[in-house]
Amino acid sequence: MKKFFTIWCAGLLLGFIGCNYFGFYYTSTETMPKAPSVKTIRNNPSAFRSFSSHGFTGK
Amino acid sequence: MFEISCPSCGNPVQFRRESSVYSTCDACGSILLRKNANIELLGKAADLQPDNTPLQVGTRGQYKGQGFEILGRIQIRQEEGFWNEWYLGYDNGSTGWLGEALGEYFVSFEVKEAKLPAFRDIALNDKFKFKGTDFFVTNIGNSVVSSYEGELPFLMNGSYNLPNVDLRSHSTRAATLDYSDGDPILFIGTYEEFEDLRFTNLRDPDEHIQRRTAAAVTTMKCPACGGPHTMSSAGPQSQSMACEYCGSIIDISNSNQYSILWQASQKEKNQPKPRIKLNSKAKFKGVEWEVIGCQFKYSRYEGTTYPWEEYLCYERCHGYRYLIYSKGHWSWSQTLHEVPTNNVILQSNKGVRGKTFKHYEGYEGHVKAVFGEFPYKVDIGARSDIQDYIAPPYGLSRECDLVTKNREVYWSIAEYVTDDEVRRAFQVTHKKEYVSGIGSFEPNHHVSTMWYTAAVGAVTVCLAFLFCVFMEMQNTVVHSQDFLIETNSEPSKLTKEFKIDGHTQAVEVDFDTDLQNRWLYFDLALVNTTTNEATLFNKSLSYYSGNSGGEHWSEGSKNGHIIVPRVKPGTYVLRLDPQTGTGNNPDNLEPGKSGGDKKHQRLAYVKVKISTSPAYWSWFFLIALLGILPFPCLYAFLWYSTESERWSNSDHPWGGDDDDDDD
Repeated sequence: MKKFFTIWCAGLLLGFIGCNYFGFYYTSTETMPKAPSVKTIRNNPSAFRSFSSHGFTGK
Repeated sequence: MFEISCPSCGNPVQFRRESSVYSTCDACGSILLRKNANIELLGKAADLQPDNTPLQVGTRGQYKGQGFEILGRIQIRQEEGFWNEWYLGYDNGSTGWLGEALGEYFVSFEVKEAKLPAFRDIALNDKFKFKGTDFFVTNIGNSVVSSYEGELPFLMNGSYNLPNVDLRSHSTRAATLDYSDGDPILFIGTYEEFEDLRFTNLRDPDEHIQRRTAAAVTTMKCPACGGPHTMSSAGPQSQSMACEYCGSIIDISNSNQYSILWQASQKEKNQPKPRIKLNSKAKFKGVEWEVIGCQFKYSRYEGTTYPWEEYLCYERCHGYRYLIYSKGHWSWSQTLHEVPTNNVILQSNKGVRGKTFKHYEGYEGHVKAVFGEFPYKVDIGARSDIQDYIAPPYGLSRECDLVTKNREVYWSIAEYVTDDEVRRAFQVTHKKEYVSGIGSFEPNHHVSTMWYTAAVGAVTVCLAFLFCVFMEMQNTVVHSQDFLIETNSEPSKLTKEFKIDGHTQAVEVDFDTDLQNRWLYFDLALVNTTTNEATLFNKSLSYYSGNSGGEHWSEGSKNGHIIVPRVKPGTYVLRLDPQTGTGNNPDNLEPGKSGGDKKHQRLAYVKVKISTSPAYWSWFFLIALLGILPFPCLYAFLWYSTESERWSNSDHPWGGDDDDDDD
């Protein structure tokens, strides 16, 4: 049990440090490989909206 | 040293000290008186009782840094057996005594004390203070000095009675009161371990029959059934023996005349069999022991019988030990040199010094059956009052013979040993029994696991905490910008460009708002200005407050943050697409509600802060609470359950009324 717990703790710690350092996190995100350019967004802010809206309807 | 020839037999007789006046001839036992250059023959000393002592006249040793030599000895017989008092001459010219009984070694010196108690006024457990130390009476004996050898400080001519009182203290200091002359003589000293006395010139282990001792008997026949017996190595010191054929107990203290102490009936011949082979040898705790005897004992409580077995082990230098078997558990027991203090704390015994023992149970022990040899008279049906105290893995036992209860209190200390340890060393003939439950002083193995998991878990949490602090120190705000969310204006917002340096890492976006009784939802996009790759995510906030029944209430938060994982180094903008409202529908996407004009109505203020290397505090607490804490908690529970089970078999079950009654 002691051996298992030591390995368990070491694994938890290394996993925690590794995830934190390299930025792994559980936030739900989507990746858009080719979004409108910044220039396009500035000129037409709503151009992006169709991509980023998820149908949120308020509280 | 002064040497002469014995006038009786011509054997050389040594006077090891110039000041010595009396000596005895090793060969013929003649008592010699030295008067200047003349030797006078005073008579003959009785034969010494053969024994297996490792000591002899001429043995050298050390006590508290002072060398000594054994000059002579007297042999003292008590009803239960006999012991040796060796007369010591120290290198500094002083003299003293070394008591040797059942493997205990007591070094003492005569001490003058103005007022000493009379023999008739002393009772068992009485307390006396001598030279600043409290001593307790542990034995009151009517002994006989039966024989002697070598040089002695007084003239020995024939045997004489020796009423004596043994006293022990809360340390290894002990005392003896000698009433042989009528007026008491006090001796005070300490119990020492064999190894600590650094003996040299010990008696040859194979020289069982000393020059002047009677021949030691090696075989005998049971006077009850005629069964043949081979004596153990402890044979010369054994006082009684239980015949393995008929079960009768024989008094073997006098090899010229064996007598039957107790004759077994046919019914009692169906005795239990010892689970360790008698007369077998075993190397245990670094010493080679011989198993010479076994007693089957029991106690009874509310109609239930609780049996246990005691195996007597012998080694000539270390004396006697008991290997005790009870309900599948073993322990290794020896005589305690000290009398524990009232709250049962040991002060002197090595290894257990300072340990506090708790009273476990008290019961009446009965002897059911015996096998083999014993250095005292054993008796079927003998009863003793036993009080057990525990401090796992040690147990302490106070035993008082109920037949001779005014005579002796016997304290012993035992250490728990595993079945595997015993089986490795001893010839155990029985199969391993299934053991349910925990032994009375078996170590609670969950304790070490509990503390181990707590310690390793704490170290892990500390390291994770330190790493989080380290990440906090690395945390850098790369961009911060304020936004107003209004009616009648483009809802989408775009930050200025900012740069993420270093390696791929998480990015934290903090929101600080002035929300009041409204919700706020963001569709967010972190857009890499070089590759146009965007990471889409969202965040919602809400804050409501008010007064109800005279009390202020609030719900939600004006602030929040979100961590965006795996952001590659580069230049970014953050696009915010907010929706906010007080009801179900957002009101920042429609014209102003007040009359449909185009006025901008302020709905919310948002400060957005973007930083790198966020510390994962939420994960930290998750790991600490769910990943680590359950383990020490589980073992704490197991420890508690085991202890509760241990004490449920005692006189003080947990949860009972007398938890704190330590007797």
